[in-house]
Amino acid sequence: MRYFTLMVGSLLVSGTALALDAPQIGSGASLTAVIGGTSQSIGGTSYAGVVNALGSVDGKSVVKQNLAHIGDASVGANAKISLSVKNAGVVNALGAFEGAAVVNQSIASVEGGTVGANLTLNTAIGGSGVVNVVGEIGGDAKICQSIGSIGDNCKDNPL
Amino acid sequence: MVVGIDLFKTLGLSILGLLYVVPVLGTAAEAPHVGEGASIHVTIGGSGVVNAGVGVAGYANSKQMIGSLISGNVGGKLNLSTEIKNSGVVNVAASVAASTTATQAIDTVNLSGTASGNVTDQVTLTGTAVVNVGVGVAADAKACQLIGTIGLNCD
Repeated sequence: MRYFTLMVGSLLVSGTALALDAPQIGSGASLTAVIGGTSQSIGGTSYAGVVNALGSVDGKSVVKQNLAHIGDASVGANAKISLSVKNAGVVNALGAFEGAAVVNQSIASVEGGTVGANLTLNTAIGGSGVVNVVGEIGGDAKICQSIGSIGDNCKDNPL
Repeated sequence: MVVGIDLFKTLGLSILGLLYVVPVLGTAAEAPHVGEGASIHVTIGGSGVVNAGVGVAGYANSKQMIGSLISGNVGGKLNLSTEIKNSGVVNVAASVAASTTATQAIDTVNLSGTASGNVTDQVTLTGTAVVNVGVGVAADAKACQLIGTIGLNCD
């Protein structure tokens, strides 16, 4: 199985055998991600803020993309998560797979953990901003996309 | 010596890779607990586009949640608002050779989530806003769309 993981501005920890403690964040945490802005030319192609988690895989694959995201952390009061995709900014979690695939994209969301009072999630997608979860998949597929949400959207019905 | 350094680099990178990947994929996150008062606001406009698109040869299960309480509990007031305007487009599209289940939820409180205070839910669609659950399926299809609702309709 192949794994592709991309995290931008995220708090994420697990209770695995590695015995990592979940992060403890005091009050006033702020996660801000802005994707877009001035375009740049790379190799003759113009990009204006592009974030990709992509794979081309023959076997079973898992692709997980988190942006401005709290995974499993303890966060104090007044936490604020802001994400803006604008000015032709593009966010993709995409794959071309021969086998089965799970693709999970979570943006400006709280997946687990504990968050204090006055949580604010702001998401703005405009100015030709594009957010895609795309799969071209030869086998079975499970596609999950969460934007500005609380909870785990990809927990049920494992592939 | 050079070999040793290369081996160290290789092992080191491998270990770093494991440290980076395993915690993420090994996570079985508990449903989140949020203190008193949560506010979620999503704006999709100015030709903003959100897609969960699938071209799948086998069975497909697609779930798209926007500005929603999927699970967990909120201690006090919950304020949900989503604006889709000015050519904002939200799609769950599937092109599937076998059976498919497609779910789209916008500004929705799932039954497995609880909010002990007031729930404020506002959805605004203006100016050529488009929200689609589109499915092209060769076999059985199940398509569910929820906008500004409490409870899922796709069980």
